[in-house]
Amino acid sequence: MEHSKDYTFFTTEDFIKDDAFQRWVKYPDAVNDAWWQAWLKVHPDKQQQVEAARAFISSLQFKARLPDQDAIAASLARNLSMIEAAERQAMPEVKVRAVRKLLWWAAAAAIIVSVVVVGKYFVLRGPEMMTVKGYAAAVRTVWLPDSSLVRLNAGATLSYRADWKPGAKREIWLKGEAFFEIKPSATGMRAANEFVVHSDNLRIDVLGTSFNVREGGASTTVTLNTGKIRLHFKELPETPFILDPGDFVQYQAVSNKIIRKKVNPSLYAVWKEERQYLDKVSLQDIGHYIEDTYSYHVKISNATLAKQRVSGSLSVKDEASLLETLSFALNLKIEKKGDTLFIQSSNQ
Amino acid sequence: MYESQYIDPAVWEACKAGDKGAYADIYKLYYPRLYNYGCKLTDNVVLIEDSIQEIFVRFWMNRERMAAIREFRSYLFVSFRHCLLKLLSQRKQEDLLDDEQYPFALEISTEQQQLAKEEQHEQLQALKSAMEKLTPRQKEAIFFRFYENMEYEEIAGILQISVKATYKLMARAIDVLRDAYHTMPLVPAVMTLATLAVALGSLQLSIAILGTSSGFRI
Repeated sequence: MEHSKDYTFFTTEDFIKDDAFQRWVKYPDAVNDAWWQAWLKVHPDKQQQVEAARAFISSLQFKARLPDQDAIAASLARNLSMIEAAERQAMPEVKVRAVRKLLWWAAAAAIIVSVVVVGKYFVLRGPEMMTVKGYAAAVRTVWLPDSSLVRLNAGATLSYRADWKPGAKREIWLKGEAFFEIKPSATGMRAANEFVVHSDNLRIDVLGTSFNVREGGASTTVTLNTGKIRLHFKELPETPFILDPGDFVQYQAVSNKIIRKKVNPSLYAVWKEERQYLDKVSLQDIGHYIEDTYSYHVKISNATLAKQRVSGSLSVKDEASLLETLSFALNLKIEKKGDTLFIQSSNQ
Repeated sequence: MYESQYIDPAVWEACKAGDKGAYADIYKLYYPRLYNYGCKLTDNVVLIEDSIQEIFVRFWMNRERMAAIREFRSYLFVSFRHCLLKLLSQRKQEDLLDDEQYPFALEISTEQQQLAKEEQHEQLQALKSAMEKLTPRQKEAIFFRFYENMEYEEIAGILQISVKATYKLMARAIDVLRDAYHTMPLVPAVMTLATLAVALGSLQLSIAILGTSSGFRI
């Protein structure tokens, strides 16, 4: 241990601020301990300063929030699966095999047919798909190869081509509910590098950034938070919808009907965070959200109550927790009768 | 504190060569530490988790290009801090987080410390409240130095200030804490009243110092 310093005239304060001294107190090892013990033998008059400095540094212990072994293991497992996905994109299996096949052909005949071989190869095999399944009861975060972020709600599934190349058209297929934050490409949203989301009965061309898609059951709902998107419904090929922030579009498969309106989009993406912050949302809006999401009829007992606004963090994992939080926060009585929810103030 | 503070160089080399078992060891070593650090910046554990996931994936994909094991720890903390603050500012959109205003929730723990004397308990309480008066950056520097055992160079890299400024930042933070804390470990508690008076005096002093120092930040 190199101690070029002369500690002879050090005060308590000096010791406290000294690197080597700090290290000795917090992380003593055989080497530094021996050095300081020897030094103290030679300078017994410094004992008091050293002890005072030691006591101060030792009292600098901080509260820690450390995850337990299970949490660490769960996080590691998630990470390893993400790495696997990332590796497949970085080095798609398809590519490797294509090269191998190409060499085999080259050995058999000539090199002139290389382009044809690769093309034919793809036609024969079709692209390999990467599939990411959502967790059974939690929100899963997925990063796409272009760093776009997708939050998959419980039970949702996302897939995309394994040979995703930078700069090429970005396409993903979705079942269930997901929230997207799309990274604009380096060159801007050009046709060659557009982002497209496919679901069972709809296609979304992304012209901007973040939106929510809820697919499955009787209807498919898209709400846009920021940016711009274009929707094409498979049953209505002639009429694309251009959405602006706050737009809500719901397609009902049975009746082949489309509902379009303005909503508070952060409410419709409320599930994606453990606690989503809501700013002055009226009970009326929340009522509409419940109707759109859980297909209830919502009846609020009076107009004043409907206009009441809520701000704050809301935790909404599912219908039950939403209703519970709501009735607690606003002091409400919520009753279910058939497919209708009656909401009234508890004070009445 | 931690069973092993550092990565075994052999584990590091294996990881770089593509050994996922070695990678898992490194993950398990740093996950709790990044998590704990993240909790000082936000309560949102989802964003903390997401940030850790993201930076580790990035590390794995670029591991061959990673220079030295020595720089790895600061690399992790720098990219984690960057990633988390970015996610936080996206969430809160325009307002706040010009990197200077994030809070840093570092608290003195009293539970683990065995206190022989009543006065020591009071000292610790004084230290605790002095802690709350430090600026977020001062707290962060203290955290890296006294909890994460980092070199001043590493801290400077994470906080993106010069090494000299880091020394200054730390010295000022220690001054504030020292004023609130009066040590007398070797002196028996004979002059209880006198020391109490001194303690009170120093408490007022520390407030006065804070009043003047809050105007400038590094």
